[in-house]
Amino acid sequence: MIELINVCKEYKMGEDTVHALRGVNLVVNDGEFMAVVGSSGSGKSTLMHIIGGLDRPTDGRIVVDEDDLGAASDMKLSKYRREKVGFVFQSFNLQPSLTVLENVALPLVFTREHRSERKRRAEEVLELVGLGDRLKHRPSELSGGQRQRVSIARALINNPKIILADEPTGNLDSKTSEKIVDLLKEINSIRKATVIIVTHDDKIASQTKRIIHISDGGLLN
Amino acid sequence: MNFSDLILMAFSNLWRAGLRAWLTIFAVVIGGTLIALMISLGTGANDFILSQFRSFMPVNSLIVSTSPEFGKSGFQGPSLGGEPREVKDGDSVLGFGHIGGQKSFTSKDIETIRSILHVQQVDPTYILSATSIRLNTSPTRYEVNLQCLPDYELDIRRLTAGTRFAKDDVRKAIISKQYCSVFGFDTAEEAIGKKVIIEVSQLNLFGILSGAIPAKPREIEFEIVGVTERTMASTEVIITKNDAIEIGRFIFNNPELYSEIWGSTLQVKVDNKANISKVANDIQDLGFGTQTPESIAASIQSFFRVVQVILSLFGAIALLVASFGIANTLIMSVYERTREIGIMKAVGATNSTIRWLFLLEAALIGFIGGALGVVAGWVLGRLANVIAHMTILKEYEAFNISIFPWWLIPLVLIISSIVAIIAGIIPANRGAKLNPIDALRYE
Ligand SMILES: Nc1ncnc2c1ncn2[C@@H]1O[C@H](COP(=O)(O)OP(=O)(O)OP(=O)(O)O)[C@@H](O)[C@H]1O
Ligand SMILES: [Mg+2]
Repeated sequence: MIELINVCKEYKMGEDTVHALRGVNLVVNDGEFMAVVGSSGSGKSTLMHIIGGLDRPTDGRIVVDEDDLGAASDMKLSKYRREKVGFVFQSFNLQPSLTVLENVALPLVFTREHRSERKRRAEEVLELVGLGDRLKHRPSELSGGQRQRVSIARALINNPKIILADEPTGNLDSKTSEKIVDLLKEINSIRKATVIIVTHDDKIASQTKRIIHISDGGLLN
Repeated sequence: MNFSDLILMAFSNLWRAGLRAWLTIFAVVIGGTLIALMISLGTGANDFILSQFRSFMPVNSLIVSTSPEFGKSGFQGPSLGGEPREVKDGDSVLGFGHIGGQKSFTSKDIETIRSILHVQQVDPTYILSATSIRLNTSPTRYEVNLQCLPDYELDIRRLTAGTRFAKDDVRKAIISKQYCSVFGFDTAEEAIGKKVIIEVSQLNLFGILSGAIPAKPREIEFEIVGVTERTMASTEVIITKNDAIEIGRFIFNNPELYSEIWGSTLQVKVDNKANISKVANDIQDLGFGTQTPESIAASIQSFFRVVQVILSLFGAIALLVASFGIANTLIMSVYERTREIGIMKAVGATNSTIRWLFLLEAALIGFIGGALGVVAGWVLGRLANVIAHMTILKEYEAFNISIFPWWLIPLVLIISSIVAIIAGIIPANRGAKLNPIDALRYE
């Protein structure tokens, strides 16, 4: 369970302070399939970063399965990201120098998993996203939709409880987007992972079971 | 994260940097080469001098002096390049000598020393200051260092021609190889059986005091029976004990020399090298000074240690310069790989993993540079040996100007790796402290 209690995030820009999040209260239960919508600059990405342990709130608390992430050490946050979270980014964020297989296996490199086991699991998740035949390709040799599948495979490889997708279809056409959302939906229903998708697209949002609206750093009810 | 993965990743990052990495490594290579080469040259010189010294002084003997201070300050030769030493009463004033007012050993002293456990033999060190040597067929005179050695010391001199002395030989001499060429012999064998004239003159040290007029110089004819291998002792001429006693008594105009009084230094033979320091202690307890081959060797070696350190400073400076290059390269690479670092952090890499990644990359630069430097240093050392054997070391085939001890390999590798790792600390910390969100946002 993810619990946000009065989470605030401020950025100091010289004299000014940007309030990216202003007292967000939110509970996300295990296995939820949820969309976050809101206009540009409203704080959606910031919210995802805080839930994903990439950033800490300046005020308030974020508790995941009884662990207070705001108070956790860098080491613990890394461990949390490694074991419980899978990120999917709008711009894919694949390493151009690595093959598809290596990109997907990357999160396991930071665990103590054995090389052969890493390869086996990477092949397995790539099979799942329908790219079992592209293992040796470089990201630059793939289409946008394929790249996003690679990045979803990478997010899946640790078998995380939480998948955070920040505008995963932002760079894709509508047909490809649909397939990506179908894939995420499948992951939610089969793997029982909590999936949170940030999107501007109402059509995508409507496919989820819960939609939260965010505006100027606050949730709208 | 497994260490092997970390290494692999650091290596592939370095590989991707391509030319930039190689240029950085090249700077390390120069430092490593200089260190390896300088130390190998220093070791070569050290070995050369030490082995020359060992060919003169038997390992199981020691020198004893009536002066208790003898041997205390290491090498007892005249001050080489340093400030002149103060002379106190009872000091040896002529370098190795024992003339002047220096106290002499008595026959009783010799008996006492001989009775010490493990002592096998006690000999005087004959002081034979000859003026010149010439062939009996030629008037051209050459400088000479006339010596009489105990039999066991003569045994370690290597001869290229002729033989050592037979028992009770008189007027026989063993000359050094260098004389052959000045005497006009084509081979050392040619010298055997030829006659040389050695001139000795009486010291007027006592003469001045007593008002006596020194006797006229004497010319003594010797037959060459042996030629020693070429060493640094290029003017050494060895004669037998009988002649040495006669010449010594003439030089000092003292018929009691080597029967009642024995000069201020003695050479003591010990049954076993291992007992040298024990015997030295026993002799010091009698109030005499001692100098062992080990103590002389140690002072020679410590001198060359200093030379090596000074020479390898050049390499150290080169490495210091290279370390700035390493830091610069890695800072660039942190900057270039910002997004990559962000991704790695997002998928669970810890700060310390990122730090290690860059430190290892630095270490690899140092290690590869050091390894290539060692190889280059070795090759250059071999080259120096080849050139030296054609020029300055022509006559010393057994010696090398550059000696490459095995420990030079780990030494250079460790030094260059450590310097590189230190240079990598700042870039590595930068990478480790990158905020993952900023890094991911980075275009
Ligand atoms: N590192 C930062 N420094 C300063 N301000 C920041 C930083 N990150 C975000 N902000 C500000 O915080 C606010 C929320 O940003 P955020 O990226 O969360 O918006 P978003 O809802 O994801 O927008 P978009 O739909 O365009 O991605 C914005 O006003 C943004 O300018
Ligand atoms: Mg955003």
